[in-house]
Amino acid sequence: MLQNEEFIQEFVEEAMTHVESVEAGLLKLDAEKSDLNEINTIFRAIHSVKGTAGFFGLKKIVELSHSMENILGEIRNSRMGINREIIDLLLASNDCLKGMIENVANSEETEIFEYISKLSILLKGESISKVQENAAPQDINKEKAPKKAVEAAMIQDGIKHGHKLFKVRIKMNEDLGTKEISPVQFFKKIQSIGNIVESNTDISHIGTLDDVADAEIYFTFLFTTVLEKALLPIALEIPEDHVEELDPSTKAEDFLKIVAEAAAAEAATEKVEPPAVKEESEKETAQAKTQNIVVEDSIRVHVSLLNNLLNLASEMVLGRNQLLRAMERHRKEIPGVDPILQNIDRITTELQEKVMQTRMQPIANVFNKFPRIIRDLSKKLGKEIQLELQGTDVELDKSIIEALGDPLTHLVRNAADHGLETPEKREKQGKPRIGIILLKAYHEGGYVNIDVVDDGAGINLEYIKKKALEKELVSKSDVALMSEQEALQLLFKPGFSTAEKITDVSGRGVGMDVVRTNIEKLGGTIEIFTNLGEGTTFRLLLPLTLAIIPSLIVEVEKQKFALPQVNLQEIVRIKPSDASRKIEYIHNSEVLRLRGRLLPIVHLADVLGLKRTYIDPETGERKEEKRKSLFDQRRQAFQEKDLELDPLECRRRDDANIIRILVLKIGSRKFGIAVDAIHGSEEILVKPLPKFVKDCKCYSGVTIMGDGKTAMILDPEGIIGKANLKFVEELDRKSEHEISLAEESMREQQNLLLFKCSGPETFAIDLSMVSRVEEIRPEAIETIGDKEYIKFRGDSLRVIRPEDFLPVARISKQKEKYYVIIPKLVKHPIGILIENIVDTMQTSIKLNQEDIKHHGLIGSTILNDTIVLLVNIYEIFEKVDPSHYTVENIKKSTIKRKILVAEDTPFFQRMERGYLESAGYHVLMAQNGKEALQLLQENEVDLVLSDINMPIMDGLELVKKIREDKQLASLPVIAVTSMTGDLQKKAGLEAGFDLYEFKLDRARLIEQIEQMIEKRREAG
Amino acid sequence: MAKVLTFHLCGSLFGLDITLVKEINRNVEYTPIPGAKPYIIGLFNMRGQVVTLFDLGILMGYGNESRQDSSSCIILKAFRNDSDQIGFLIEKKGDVADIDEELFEPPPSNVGGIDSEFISGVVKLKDELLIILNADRIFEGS
Repeated sequence: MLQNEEFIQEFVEEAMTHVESVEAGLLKLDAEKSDLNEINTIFRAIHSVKGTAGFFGLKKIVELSHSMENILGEIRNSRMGINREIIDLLLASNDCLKGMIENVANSEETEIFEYISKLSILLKGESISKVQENAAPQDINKEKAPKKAVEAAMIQDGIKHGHKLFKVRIKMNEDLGTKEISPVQFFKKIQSIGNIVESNTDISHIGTLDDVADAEIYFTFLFTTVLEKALLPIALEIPEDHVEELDPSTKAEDFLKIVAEAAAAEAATEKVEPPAVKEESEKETAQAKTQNIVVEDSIRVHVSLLNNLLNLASEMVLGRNQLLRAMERHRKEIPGVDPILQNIDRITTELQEKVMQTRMQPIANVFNKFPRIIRDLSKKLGKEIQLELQGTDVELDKSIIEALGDPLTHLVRNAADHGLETPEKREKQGKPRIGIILLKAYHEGGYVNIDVVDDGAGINLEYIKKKALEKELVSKSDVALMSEQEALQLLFKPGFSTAEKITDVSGRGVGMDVVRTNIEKLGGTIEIFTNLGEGTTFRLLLPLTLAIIPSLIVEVEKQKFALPQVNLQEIVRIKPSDASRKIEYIHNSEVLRLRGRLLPIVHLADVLGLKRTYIDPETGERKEEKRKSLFDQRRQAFQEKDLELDPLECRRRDDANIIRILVLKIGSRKFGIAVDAIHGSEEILVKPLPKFVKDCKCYSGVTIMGDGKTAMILDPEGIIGKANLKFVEELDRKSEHEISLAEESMREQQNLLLFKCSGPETFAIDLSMVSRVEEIRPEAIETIGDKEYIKFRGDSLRVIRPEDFLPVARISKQKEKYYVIIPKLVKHPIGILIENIVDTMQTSIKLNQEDIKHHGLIGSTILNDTIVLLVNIYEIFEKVDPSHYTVENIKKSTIKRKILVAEDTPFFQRMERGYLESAGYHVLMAQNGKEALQLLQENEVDLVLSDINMPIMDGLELVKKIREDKQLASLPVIAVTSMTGDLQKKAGLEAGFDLYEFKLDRARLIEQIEQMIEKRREAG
Repeated sequence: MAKVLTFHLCGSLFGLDITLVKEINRNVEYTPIPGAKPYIIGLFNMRGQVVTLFDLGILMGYGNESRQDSSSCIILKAFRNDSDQIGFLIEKKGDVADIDEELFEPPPSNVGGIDSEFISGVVKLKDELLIILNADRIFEGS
């Protein structure tokens, strides 16, 4: 029996992929003009739609696709050129086709006359606009002539390739229905062995689509194939007498007549008699013979089946976990069971992975609709837009792909509408007329990132702030203190829209807040980067699959919960007995100092409405907390009994009362959730929340854990809501105290190379000054006069022993090998001869500059309980070779120039100050950008040197602020950094730095400073 | 004649059309949901499917006596196209009884309020009354 619904559904799915490929193909043609391959692809797709639609008697779809096919045929045979008009019309027709396919049941009612008449006008080589000007709609019948031409060409083409021509007539129900072959499959089968030239379904006696199932339908088609007549029935699994070979020399018109007549005749004759019953055996043999003719490398599977598989696979994983746990004790006892368990373990994991993969789809499925959207948008907006797609093969879970469409469309629309400027404006600014929108998908750290990049005007932060103030979304005091990212986050506030005027394109009442919500629903996050005048990037971070997410299993009050790791930043442990780290209070709210910022803390138990308890150190009992201030209670209880208890017991109870704080970050919002215990991370399968608990805002789903129990998945967004955290207000609580704390903890890390010379002292040098370290044998050191040299890269290189220049011991002893440190960024390299490399380490150092003072040393510090001397190679080199290394001082007679140095690392502070002062400048030091700005207000400064990475306010923001200030705008600002990458350099120069220099390249730096100051003096 | 599964809850005898019952489970290990409505006891894993466990006593307004260490529960068949599975704790399982239509009566008029919504009828057994529950209403929650 023909399962009508299902077959039609299959047709719809199939046809949709075809019309989509047609659209994509047409858009490519649009850009690249006549690509024959592309035209062929489009032609084939349309042809397939026409063919399969014919099976179902969908006349209108056949008619329209036929008209489109005609045009495409002409183009394919180079009898017609491509122009915009044609493509526009084909696109519009394709849309109409798509509409009909989507709504198959009503497709017969669709009005397609407009498209068909326009297509026929174009087919005659005329322009629509011209014809429409002076003529009434054309007689469609005229298109019949070229129609035959296309078919005739197909036949000719087939014959050329040795095809024979057949007329095949099949009965839909009898020949297909009983074999459970769907029309779509049958059509594919035909296409796999030959080409359908023309088809005809006689549906004249069928009223509606629903009748197809019951009535016998005759389908006749003209068909070219290389197969012999005898083979054809076997290949198609149809009775022999259904196939008739035709003489290829017959005129095309006649063929068509044959087809049409045959179909009608069959219908007329066979309608009366009941369908003949076929012998089972005959059919079976036919089927057996042909089984391997049609080879498909993919099958359509219903999503619900995949979901079931997924469920079963995760059940399997559960079962495996239980089995492994139960068998743990017997692994050794029962011989041979261990490898079996391992095997089951491995296979189950693999099975689950593979099942997950079946749900993966390439992101192209979403991306591919954008060429069209952009095309329409550029027309509507009068902007010239080029769309670039990257990483279209990146795969994501089907459910994510489906849910991405709307947010991405919104972002792309925004980029086109608000982001890109008009071509005229772009030209004025020296940009190319064509604006670029880039959609880029790529993997990063277990997540998929999708960037929506435009090279447009960028986001004007001041404008956003102004707008937010107007709409009273924030207060004035907040705005003043807002950092760039915080200001950008305003875009996501409900009710915020920056469009100057609401346009058709983006003024849809849907704001960025909806985009953010949608992305967060998927377990993703969204970030914005912008440069005024350069463009904007919206970055979506998405989990690979929706269904399985890495989560942390946490416990509070004996209940376990799963927390998705995507938002997790770090975990802070607080022991009640540890005085240096504690939770403090602002009224009733708990906060934690974390790297100079106050982190709001919420207790999971409070948010969920559980009673908080603690373990009384005295009795070891679990007690309910009466005060809200949990931490104090624990601490007090601990301290009171501190001395009386056995220290071990005390410690045990202290441990039981440790508070673990999960630091979560959602966008720019950061907060801590306090929990009682953390049970490690688990990949959990997300199941939807039962509708009965949907009203609990704190959960995003349910999961079944490894032990078979269910656990609720926490929703950080919901927790923020439930705990009533308001994030923007928090900004103005920043105090001076916090800032000093920030300096404390956000010290830049330094990479140090620790080494030893002949003495017991340990030295350190910053790795950024080291070009390389060579191992040499003592014989390689040659002495010329009192100087030592080695051969290095075919040149002689002077080497020195630091002991000779520093106040440390030199012990003469023969060693088997030495090392030479070749420094970076010096004009006249000198190697440093050392005996041992101790270690390299990354650390933030506390410099002690007073105890050990000597020319050639920056200072001392303690690393791993050893005093380490930090070497200043420039000073040593100066001593070694004063003629080359002493920097010429600027003329002492002129006024001392003042230089402001913003630098947070003590090591570099001292270095920079050292060589600036030795060059004769007056130096002002600032610890960070904010301090620098203050000093700039109070002092007149000739030049600013600024580090990039600093706490409180970094270098990029500092220079932006300087450039915004009228008084300071022309001040030369040089970025000095220990990172030298082109990207950072570009970012730095864009932010407004005049120069971007490596902070340890002393000679060059001094040279540049002098030049800049000189220039400035001449100018003003 | 219809087969009805009987059970004890809050001191009364209740019955459910047996065709609506999926299974009876003993010793379910459920996970409470902090913050959920009071009649929701928690969730449990039934062979990979998450079942929401109700406290019928609370739902129907009988109080929460039914919760006392009972761990047997009746799981209902998924309702129409609903993907959510539900079950509820019972105190003691009764028998499967054949009910004579003649003994069936709609809820008496003095049973009012919320609880009458949950009752589709009362069967007059020889020595006690059997309250037949309205499963549709249970699926609606409150």
